[in-house]
Formats: sequence, structure tokens, C-alpha cells
Amino acid sequence: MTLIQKMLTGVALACLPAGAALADYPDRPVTILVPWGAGGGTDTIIRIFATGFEEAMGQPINVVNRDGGSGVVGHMAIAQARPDGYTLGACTPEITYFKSIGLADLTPEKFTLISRLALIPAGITVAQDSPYADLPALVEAVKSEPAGHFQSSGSGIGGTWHMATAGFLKALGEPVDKIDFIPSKGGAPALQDMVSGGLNMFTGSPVEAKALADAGEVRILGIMSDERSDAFPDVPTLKESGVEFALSNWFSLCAPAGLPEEVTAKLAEAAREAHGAAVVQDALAQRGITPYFDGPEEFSTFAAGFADEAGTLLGELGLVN
Amino acid sequence: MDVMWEALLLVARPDVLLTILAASTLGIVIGAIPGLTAVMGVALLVPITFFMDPVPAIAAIAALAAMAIFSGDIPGALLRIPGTPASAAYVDDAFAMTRAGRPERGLGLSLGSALIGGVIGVLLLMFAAPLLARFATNFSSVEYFWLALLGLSCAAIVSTGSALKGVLSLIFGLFVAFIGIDEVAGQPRFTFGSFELMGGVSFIPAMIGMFALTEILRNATRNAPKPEAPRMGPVFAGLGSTLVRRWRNVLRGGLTGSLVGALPGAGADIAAWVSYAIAKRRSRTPEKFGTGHDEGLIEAGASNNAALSSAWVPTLVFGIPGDSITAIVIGVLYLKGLEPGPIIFVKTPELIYAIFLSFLLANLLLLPLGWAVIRLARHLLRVPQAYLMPIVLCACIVGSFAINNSPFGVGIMLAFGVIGWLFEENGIPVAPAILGIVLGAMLEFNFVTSMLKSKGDLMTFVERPIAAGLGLVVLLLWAAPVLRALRSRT
Repeated sequence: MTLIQKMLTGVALACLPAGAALADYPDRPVTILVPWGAGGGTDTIIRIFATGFEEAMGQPINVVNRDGGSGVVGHMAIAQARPDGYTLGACTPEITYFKSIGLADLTPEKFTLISRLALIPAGITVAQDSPYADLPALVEAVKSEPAGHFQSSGSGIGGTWHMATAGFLKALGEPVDKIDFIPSKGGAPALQDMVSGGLNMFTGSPVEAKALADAGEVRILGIMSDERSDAFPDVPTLKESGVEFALSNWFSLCAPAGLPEEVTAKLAEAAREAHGAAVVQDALAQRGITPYFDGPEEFSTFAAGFADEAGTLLGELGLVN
Repeated sequence: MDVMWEALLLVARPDVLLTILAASTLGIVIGAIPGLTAVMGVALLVPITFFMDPVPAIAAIAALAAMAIFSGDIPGALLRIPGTPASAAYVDDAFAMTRAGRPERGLGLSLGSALIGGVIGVLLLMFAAPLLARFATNFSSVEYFWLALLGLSCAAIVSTGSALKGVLSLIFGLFVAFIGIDEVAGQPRFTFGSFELMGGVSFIPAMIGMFALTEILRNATRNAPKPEAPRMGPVFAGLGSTLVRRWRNVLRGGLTGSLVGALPGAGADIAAWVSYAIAKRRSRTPEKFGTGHDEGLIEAGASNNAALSSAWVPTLVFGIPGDSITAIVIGVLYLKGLEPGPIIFVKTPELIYAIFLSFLLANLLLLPLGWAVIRLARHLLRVPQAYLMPIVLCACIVGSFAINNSPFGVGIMLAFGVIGWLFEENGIPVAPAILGIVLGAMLEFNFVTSMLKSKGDLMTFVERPIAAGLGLVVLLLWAAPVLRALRSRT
């Protein structure tokens, strides 16, 4: 073939309607965009999942971090990608309230939701020298101390851990802003600030606090899940202290809206297979992350419900624009 | 000691060792070619480290920088064109030795003092950083606010050239730090509706532009004469005895360099100038400086390599870069999920020690590689710029694309390249701008969160003892130029 012929063939191939290629989807590597930084929770989960997903899809999976802008940049890049099944994403709860807090025009409808993959429950952690010995003592103090006595952090304003703080207060029957929530750039700086005496509470996940708890710098008082976690068998749930509240940050596999149905079905099937693999399950559980799989329909219903709940909480916090 | 052992296992792997060797070789070549600087080499290496594990990635950067800072002395000695700014302090002495027919003497001394200075710096890093990290667990947002302010003040005042131009550059950096979503209020600033800009100006493409593209533009506008380098004699002859005789200079250079390097904002180039000045003041024969004398060369040569290592102390412990190279390193640390701060010393001490060990290894590699490059120098100097610069440009474009897989990065790189070139052409230093970008966001965030915690009470910034101490240092630093001006007037 001459060079001209090769080029023409290339152009012709590129112009083929997408439908023709669907039959053998996927026939080239697939990219998963992670809207958060490397080494964080979302990144860890997706990278573990990708090892199994690669096998199930029969194609290499590239995990690409597009962080910044409180998750807007990456989620926007996912929503605006071509819905051909070769660019997927790792959507996090923010997609349910980006719009209501006025950050970006992003809602669950802008995505094809494939499945939740994992949950990380919130928790309550205090510094080693904190006067509160256990969860009941802390709950008592939160009720009796004046508003603003407690200062907590773990994420940005309106982030999942902020909602954990607000939801915990609401379950206690207290005003949702009784604990000052100080924004931070993630779990590590918030914990550092708490160890140094700048804050007196951390409502991020016990997973983030584990290294410092092992080093004897902090104490994990409670976990906001329905049952105790295998990774933290000694940490009681809030429900054990009579506080009817649980909140987990969730991590999902998603794609731009308008994905062809066959592709969604194929992805859901491959994701289920990958998620069930022993390597993926073990690697997640080892880090204290709860593996979870619900599939496209159930996830969409859940996301709609979560959006309502989050909207109410954020409204009470005065964050809805 | 368990940690040390684990760290050793992390380093003593064929892929890590090969990476260090490859990065060292690259670094020594980059430094030896006039126009390619250590910072530029690091900026271009970052996209490649993107695909590596944390330890080889960081080790590669450390190795490349250490080599390039030394081999920047080579074109300085042979052609009187310092390969990197850190070699500029003693270029006259080294070139005078070359003209006296002994190029190998100047280069040998550079090599020897760089090796010893580098090792002093690394040892300081290994012992001081973990101790400082223990102490740094007492730092809350208030102390970080002062630290960031201290870094910014140093960056403007200590920078090479006029303080006014340093401040100008700094203010530009602070403005760039504004761009993106304000993480406290959730308000986009200067984003012009672009969601890409909501994440702020991507740091690494900006860096590649400012350090690599700027250099290409400068080379394109300058007509360099064809260099011709002299022949070399044996490098190591008489080197040992000279270094032993000048042990005071080697040691003082290493220590001064370590201290200057550990200051935020002051890097290898400033350390070299400071050490050269100290050597001259302490010398019995200050009149010989600049005419092929060895004292200043040895002291400053040890100093710049020591500074390079110790600049990592504030970087790893506080996330505050010690110089332009470590400013880039901070970006890489975040990319690798190693958030700098006292917590990584608790969470993954073995990674930190592995980085230290590879640093030490890289400095020891200076000996064989440095010798080889001195022998090969004549040929390296003959590589025509017309072949070299297009290759570097390609690396710039690919590198700035690869960070986010987005052409937006390339745009940032081009824009900052042109800005950096305009800066350099007008004698405005680039380093303060870089530190402004890194520290500006940190300063603002810690200020605002401290104010939130104290409910608007400014006293919070001086209530804690460490915070008050840091605040005093910052105020003294600001007052110093004013006091000096007042005293000179009376």
C-alpha cells in the first residue's frame, strides 16, 4: 500500500459509524478518570478494581487522575467525554449536589451510572490527649457544651465528611451547625491539625486515621456504619450508643450520559465479575474499605434518594444556592 | 532500624538502581550542556516519573538534580558559561585555571567538593528531617500560616538580583495562585467559565514552561559562538591532597550550603554565592579570588550540592519548598499520594528513608560519572543547539500533555514559557514566582481556616508560643531592609 492509500484507509476507519464497532466492544484500552488525587480513597479503590476489571474486559485499563477544583474538573471531564465506553469515570457523592451548592452544572443525569464499587464509612476520631474517653462521653459533651465548642474537619465545606458532622448532630436532635466545620484539603491535613491541637474532632473515615491511631497519636471513638467493620473490630458504631445515624462515602463506576445500552450492559457485567474476584475483595477489605456492588438500576435509585437527603442537609446548613 | 532495613530493600532493587543510574547519566549530560539547567531537567523528567513507583520517581529527580548541579561547573570551567546558575559564583576561578592550562584541576576540585558537600547535605537531611517532623506535629494552621509567610518573604528578599524585582515576580506568582475554586467559600476565581481553570493553573506544565521553554526561547534569540574546549589532563592527580589541605573550606561550604538550602526559597545558587563570599572574607589571600584560586571554588562547590539536599528538609517536613527544584518535587509528591507533612514520617517512614538512601547513592555516583563526563566534556560541548533545542521542545510538549492527558496543559506550558522569557529578559527572577504559586494557596488557606477557628479573632496568630516565635522572625525579616536603610542614612 502506498502512503496515500494508508492514510485514506485510516480516515475511512475513523469515520465508520460508532455502531459498527459496538459488536466487538472493547477493542482498545479503556480509560477511567479519577476526579481526585493519587493515593486518596477514590484512587486506591479504582486502582484495585482496575486490576480485576482489566481481566474481565480483556483490555488494558488506564487510570488517570484529574483532580482539582473540589472534584469539579474531573467530574466535568467524565461528563463531557464521548459516550463510547472507552472513557469511564469514578463518580463520588459530589455528583448529587454539585448543582445545588452552585459549584457546577452537574447532576446524576449527566452520567451513566454503572454501579457503586465500595463504601468508606465516616467516623469520629479525637486526639490521644482528648478529654473524651469514649463515644458516649463525647456524645454527652456535644449535647451539653455550647455551639462552637467542637471544631471538626476532614473535607471541604459541603464534602461528605461535613455532611457526616451535620447528620450526626441532626440525629442527636441538635442544630446541624452546632459543631464548627473547618474546611481542609483532605484527611491527612485535618488529622495533622487535630494532633497539633488546632481542632478537637475529626469526622473523616477511620481508614484515614488508622496510621495515626496505630502510632498512638489519635483515638478512633466511633464508626458511622450499620455494623462494626472487620478492619476495626474494636470501634463501636454510633448506633451502639443510641445515635441512629450512618453515613458512608461511596465510590462508583460511571460513564458520560448517553452510553449505548449494550455497552452499559457489557460494562455492568464485566464490573460485576471484576468486583467479585477474590483479589479485589481481599485488597479492599484489607484497607478497611467495604466492597459494595449494586448495578445500574439500583445505583440510579440510590443516587436519586441520596441527592434528596444531601439536598435537605445542605439546605439546613445554608449551603444551597 | 527496621525502617532502615525496609528502606534499603525498597532501594536495592534492580529497577530502582537502574532508574537512579539512568537519571544520573541524564543529569550529568544536561548539566554539562550550556543552556540546559538542573531545574529544566527536573521539570522535563517529571512526566516520565509519572509512570513510576514513588521511590524510583523521587530518586530519579534527586539523582538528576545532584548530577546536573555538579556538571554545570563543566561549561563554566571550560567556556566561562555556567551550565546552571549555581555554578556562576566561582566561574571566574575555574576558567582562570583552564586558561592556565589546567582545566582538570578546577573540574577535579569541583567534583571532589560537590561529592563531599552533597554527602554533608544528605546526612543533615537524614538526621534533621525526622527530628523536625516530630516537632512539626505541633504545627496547626496558625503555624503553617507563618511558615508560608516566612517562605514568601525569604523568596522575595533573598532572591538573586534586586529585591524589588523579586517582589514583582512573587506578586505574579501570588496572582496565579488565586486562579481556580477557592476551597473555603467554593467560589471560582479568574476561571472565565473554563472548568479546566477551576482546578487552578496546573503546576507542572507551568513549571515546564517557565524553566524549559524559557530557555529555548532565550537560546533562539541569542547567537552563541561555537565553543572549543581544551584537552584534559588526569582528573584525580593531586586532588586528594588539595582537598585535605582545604578541609576547612569543604566543611564550612557543606554546612553553610545545608543551612541556606534549608531556608525556604533559597536554593543552590544563593548558597554558592553566600559561601563564596564567606570563603573570601575568611581567606588569608582574598586578593587571589577570581584569578584561579581554589578556596572559593571548593567552598562554593561544596555549598551548592549541600544546599540541593537540604532544600528537601522543609519540603518533606512542611510541604514548603526550599528551592525551585523542590517546588516541582512537591507537585510530584502529591501526584504519588505522598502528601508532604509530618504525617508521612509516621505513615510511611520507610518511603522517606528510601528517598534519603537513594539521595546518598546518587551523591556517591558523582565520583565515577563525574570523572567520565569530565573526560567526555569536549564532545558534549560540541553538540549543536540546532539539534538539541527541538528535542527539548518536543519533551516540553509531550510532558505537559501527559500530566493530565489534556491539551490544556500544553496551553499553560506555552503561556508560562513566554511569561518566563519576558521575566528573564527584564532581569526579573523566576524562582519567587514559582514559590508564590506554591505558597500563595497555602498562605491563604491557612489564614482563612485559622480565622474560621478563632471566629475572626486575629490574636489567634500569636497566642501559641511557636506561632508567636515564627511571627517575630517574619517581622524581623521585614524590618531588616528598613533598619539597614535608616542606619545608612544617619
